[in-house]
Amino acid sequence: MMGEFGSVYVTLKLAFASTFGLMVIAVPLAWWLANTRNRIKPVIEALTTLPLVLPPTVFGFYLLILFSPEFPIGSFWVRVTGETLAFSFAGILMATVLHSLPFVVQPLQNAFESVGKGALEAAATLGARPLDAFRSVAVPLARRGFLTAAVLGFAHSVGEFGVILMVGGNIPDRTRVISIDIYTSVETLDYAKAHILSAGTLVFSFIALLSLYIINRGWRGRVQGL
Amino acid sequence: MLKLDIGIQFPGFRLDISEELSGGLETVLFGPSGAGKSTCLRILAGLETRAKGRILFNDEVWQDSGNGMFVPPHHRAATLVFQDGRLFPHMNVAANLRYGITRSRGRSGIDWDEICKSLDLFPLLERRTQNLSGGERQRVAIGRALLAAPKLLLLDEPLSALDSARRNEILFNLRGLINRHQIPVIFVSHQTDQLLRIGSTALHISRGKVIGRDWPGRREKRFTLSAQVSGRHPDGLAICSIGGDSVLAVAPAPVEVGDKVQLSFDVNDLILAFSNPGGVMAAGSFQGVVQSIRMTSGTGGCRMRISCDGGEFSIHHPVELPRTDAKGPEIHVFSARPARVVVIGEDPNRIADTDMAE
Repeated sequence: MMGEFGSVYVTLKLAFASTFGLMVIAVPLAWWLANTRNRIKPVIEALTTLPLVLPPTVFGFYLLILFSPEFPIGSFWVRVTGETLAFSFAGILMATVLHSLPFVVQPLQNAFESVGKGALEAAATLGARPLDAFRSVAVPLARRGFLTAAVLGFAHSVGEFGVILMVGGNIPDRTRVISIDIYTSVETLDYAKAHILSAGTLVFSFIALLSLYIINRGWRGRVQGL
Repeated sequence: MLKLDIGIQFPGFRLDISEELSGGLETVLFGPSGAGKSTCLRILAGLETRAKGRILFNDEVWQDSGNGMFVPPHHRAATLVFQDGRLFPHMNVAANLRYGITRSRGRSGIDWDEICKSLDLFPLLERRTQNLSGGERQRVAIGRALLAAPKLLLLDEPLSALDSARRNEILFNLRGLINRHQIPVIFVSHQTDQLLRIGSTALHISRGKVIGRDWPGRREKRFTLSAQVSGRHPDGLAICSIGGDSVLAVAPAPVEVGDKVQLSFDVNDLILAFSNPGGVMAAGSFQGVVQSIRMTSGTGGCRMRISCDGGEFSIHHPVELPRTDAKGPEIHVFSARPARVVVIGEDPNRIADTDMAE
């Protein structure tokens, strides 16, 4: 047992892991969306934005179905790990990544679009291969987008509630995150614990956003040479 | 040598160009804006993936749509200098200049100091790109492109943001660099620039087509040769020497004995003779060698290409030349009127920006 505040540990583990997973998926996806002229682009854009508008219960419900061993993903997971994806940490991690995707893809896509073709074309005619041009030109020019995406992805993972409740239940030290812990504490009239967790989350979120804006302001000044 | 047969289509615009550029180092694409000049450079650089056709540069195939071949821009040793410079805003000037060096695919031996000196970049190295003037940006962009050691340099209105004195100087130094390193250059210019005219091949582009292969208007009746000032004539004319022969020339700016100059001749002033008639009263005379004689279809005339110590020129003769007249390749050239000095020496500040059309 992790003790009374096992949910803090689960939440942090979930937030770091999902931020990493989000960046791995969202960077290529946002790059593709920013540069493609493919006809299916609007479909992909709509799909990635869907978690933003769907009630978490709807989103969580479908994931729960998808994770059940009757479906390929769920049965594959059972075969490989011997346990079900639903009500596991891996399950809530996957759910969190999918649910936070729009918060990470959109700032990255905007940043990549504002880098524009011009600088990348210049890099290419100077001999930079596409991956090299991406690393040496697109990433530094889009760094505000990267920071915004990572912070939003992390913060949204910390605040995840509905989807985790649907997919992961409320299993102490495995799927019980802070938001669910607060809910449970209030239900059991443990207001002291609810206060501590809520205040902690509030302060943490504020500091995260504050540092984001401070760092962004510094970068903007530098890029404009002021 | 560059061989291209390219086409591209946008809504309301179509470009079709089939050319073989094998002449000098410099080619100038000129024509009104929207004619397709920049698009042409973009196609050569490999930035227009929708372009169709073939591009052959020396023995490299850059594009051959028929065989589904398209070499991406980073594998073509062509560097494009964009009109707006497109410097990387997250790097300072020195880092921008260095960007191409480590990634150069072509030749080596283009020296940092040489480029920085020629383009006067030393004072800018530590500056951020955001507070450079338009002209400074263009100089950095040209330097960055040259340091990438291209085998073909593509310049899209590279001097448009420079004031005229600076422009002459930079163009002069740029020409020095491309001559020293033998880098073929294609310029795009919407103005039929006085200085670009000298020593370059022109392609006149309009609505996506090549409509002329020479400079337009009266000016194509003139050509330039290099000469050296050998003395002063009492009338105020300069006496210039081409291969030991003397040519009088009007010099709008003071010249000194020993100066290297570019002389502009009007073809209508010239009289040619296959053997020296002797005792000709002319403002100038020099000897040349006939390189080729080509009958011009339709007009009944012929076009001769003549080389001499000062360079090469071609002249149109309105009457068909009886072959018997051509005794040998040597030819004597007389100019009825003095030539004009258009560029003085190797000092860019002494360019006599003369209107060659008078």
